[in-house]
Amino acid sequence: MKISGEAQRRILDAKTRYPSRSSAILPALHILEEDQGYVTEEGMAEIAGLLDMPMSDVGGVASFYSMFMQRPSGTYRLDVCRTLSCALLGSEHLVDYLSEKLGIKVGETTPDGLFTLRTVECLGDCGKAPVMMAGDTYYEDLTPEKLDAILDDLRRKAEA
Amino acid sequence: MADEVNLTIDGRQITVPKGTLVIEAAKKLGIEIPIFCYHPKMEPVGACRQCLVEIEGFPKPQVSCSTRVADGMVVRTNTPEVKQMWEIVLEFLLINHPLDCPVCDRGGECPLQDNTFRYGPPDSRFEHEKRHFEKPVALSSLVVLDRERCILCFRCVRFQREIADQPDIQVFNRGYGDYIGIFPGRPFDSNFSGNTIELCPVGALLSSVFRFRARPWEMTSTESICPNCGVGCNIRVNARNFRRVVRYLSRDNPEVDGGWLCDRGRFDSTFINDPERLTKPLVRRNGELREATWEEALEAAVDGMKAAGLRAAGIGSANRTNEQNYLFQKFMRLVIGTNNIDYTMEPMAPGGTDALVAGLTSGFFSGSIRDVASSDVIVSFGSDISQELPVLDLWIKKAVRKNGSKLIFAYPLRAELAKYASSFLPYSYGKEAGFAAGLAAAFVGKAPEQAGGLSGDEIESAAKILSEAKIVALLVSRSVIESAPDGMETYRALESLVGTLEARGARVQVMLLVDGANTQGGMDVGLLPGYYPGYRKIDESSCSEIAELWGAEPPPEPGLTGWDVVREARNGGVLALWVMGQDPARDLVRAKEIAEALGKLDFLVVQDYFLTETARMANVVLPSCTFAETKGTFTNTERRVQRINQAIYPMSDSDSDTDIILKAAFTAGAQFEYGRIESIFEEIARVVPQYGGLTFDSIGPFGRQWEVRR
Repeated sequence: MKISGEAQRRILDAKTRYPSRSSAILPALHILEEDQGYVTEEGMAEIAGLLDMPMSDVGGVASFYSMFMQRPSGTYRLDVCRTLSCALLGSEHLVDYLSEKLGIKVGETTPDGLFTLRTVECLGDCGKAPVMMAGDTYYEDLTPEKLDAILDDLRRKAEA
Repeated sequence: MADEVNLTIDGRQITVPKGTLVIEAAKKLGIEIPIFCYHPKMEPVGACRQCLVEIEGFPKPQVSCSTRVADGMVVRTNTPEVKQMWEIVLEFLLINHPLDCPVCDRGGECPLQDNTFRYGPPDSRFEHEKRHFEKPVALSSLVVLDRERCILCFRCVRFQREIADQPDIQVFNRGYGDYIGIFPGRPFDSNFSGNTIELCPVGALLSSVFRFRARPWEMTSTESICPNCGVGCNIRVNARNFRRVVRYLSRDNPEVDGGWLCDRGRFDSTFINDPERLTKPLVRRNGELREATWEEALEAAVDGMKAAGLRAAGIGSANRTNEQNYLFQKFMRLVIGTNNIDYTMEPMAPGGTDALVAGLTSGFFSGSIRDVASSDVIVSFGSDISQELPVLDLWIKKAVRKNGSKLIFAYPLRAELAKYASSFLPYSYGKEAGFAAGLAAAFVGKAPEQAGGLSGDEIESAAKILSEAKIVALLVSRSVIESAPDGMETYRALESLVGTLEARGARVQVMLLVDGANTQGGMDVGLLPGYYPGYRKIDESSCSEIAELWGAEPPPEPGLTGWDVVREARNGGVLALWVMGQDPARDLVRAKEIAEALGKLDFLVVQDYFLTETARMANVVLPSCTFAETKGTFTNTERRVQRINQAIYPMSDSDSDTDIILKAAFTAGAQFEYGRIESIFEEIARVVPQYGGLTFDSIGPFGRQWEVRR
């Protein structure tokens, strides 16, 4: 799939905003991910062309940042923090709970394409641990009950 | 002095230039510090941490490969703490290293083994599963990667970026999962990828040509010259049992190759032991080529050539040695009795060769490869250097990227170097003379409206760059002088351009670019129909001069060029041809025309490694040796005479081209007597003035340029 015209414009705009072209790779990858749902190989090759950078550099940056989706993902990515504060407050049990409830392992996507379950390192919100991110939204002080409500809420949103 | 710095390393004083790296200062004192990522030809990165040392005043150990010296600095490499650090770093590096040395190509010549042996811990405390990767991974058809062995020094990634500027490989992933890789579906497609194999300090990057072929300690290493192009990169030929060549390695000649090889040269070692090599002489009987003894074959060859009388011709080779080509032309002139000798069968411009010779003998072409590094403007005319003379491309890239030199790249196609050019001039093929004249005119303020298919503006922009130049390296392809339609005119225009530049105070070095490993040498030693050896134009006085040197009179009239031979063969003007080390029937441009002409000959002798297209048409085929099976000299594009040495025994019954010619001369009853290859070179040095004073020994391991006087 080709990058949309709008995304291309935004990438070219990013190119003008930094003293070195390589700095624009990161914002370009964000734009790509937004545009295609994940950082596609075709898209990365296009970024290399647009920024006049080696493909290997774009691929290298994308693989360095593990939070870029390298594969198609669900509509909602459930990124559960597993770093110290969250871990001490039982984030691994929350992951198990989600895994069982959704019937998928960490890294997998539900068959309806709605949820992808991932674990991530510190989300920088330790005061409200355990914490999870879904899309751009933070969910804090999590409990299994709260997770039930969040999943229901996201399902309703997706249907709407 | 402000530019010098005094420091102490392990209690010893040393003075070094400001900006020197601590590790280089230590090296000067003979103090060894173990390294992996550091390489003197690349920017330091401090990635591997192996070279840690103590420096007084620093709270923590410092990497000596990226710390620069300071006045009064006190460095210690010999304390128990430093030794312990070296040991610890090695223990870390070995945690994930598979230690599969017994099956690793690098085993025996591996810096990781050597450093561990000298500085490493005797065992490992790591008791867990090592990190695993899929392996080996083919990065390209030539380079194979074992990611488990990799210690992430990034030498390969840095080489491809800093030196080759072909950044196909990069570090992927992060931290513990780091690996060297390529973008999916984009192979490691660089002209210089093989250098990363040689730079790799472990057995991670491997050559698909060499892999599993030999252990390093059972190979011999012979100093030689790459026979692939006119740069003449210095190589080491690695062989097993004096029988099988398994690889070439670089042999740093700072004036020629800077320690790098191109892939075309490096991986072209397999032809030497190819099972298809000719091993027995062949003679055509009843229409078929059949095996024969050397005596039968040589007798047939000499008889067939002699039968043609004056209508015989010979073609030497741009990849045979000076000694072989010299003997070949001497044999053709004295024994067969013809000056119909050339080094190529391509068509020549009228006067093209004369222009070339004028340039070589007047000292117009007196430039050197190293001039590229010291010029502020480089002009390249008529060659796709990246393909034709790949390692010269590295010199140009370095000059443009590191020294800020400007490149004027004149070539009909948008070749790789166009990207580096301040001015790219894609003149039209066949309009070289017009282009050169236009540039010369523009430079004296008489810019034409258009020239050589370029607009006046394009020409003028190049002239402007030149007008600001102080030191110019002008690289001129042989083809624009010799085979483009108006070679002599092109040459005159270049002469006038250089004259004007010099009159304005610029220093100009002009280097002739020749494509073959020994095109230059072939011409030097007399593979030209209009010239005796040493560029003596054939006339009465040169004829008697040569007669005196040889003790026998060569034919007094100029001969036919290679292309004349093609034409004359078709109408019976040439009846017999002897080809040494060329396959004109497979010429890239005119194969059909040439093959047709060869088919009309009464008699054809071919001396080569393989049963080539030309050999298939021959009446006699003589199996000859490759450069690895003989010794002699090549002369490269900067007129550097360099030595090749014998690395292996000749294959089966094949013989060196010098021996073949000597035996042929003997068969014909001529007195050609040379005790050794050196004796032939001694004669060349007597007969070819440019080689005067050179001897096999004085050439040395890195060659000597022959002098041109201006």
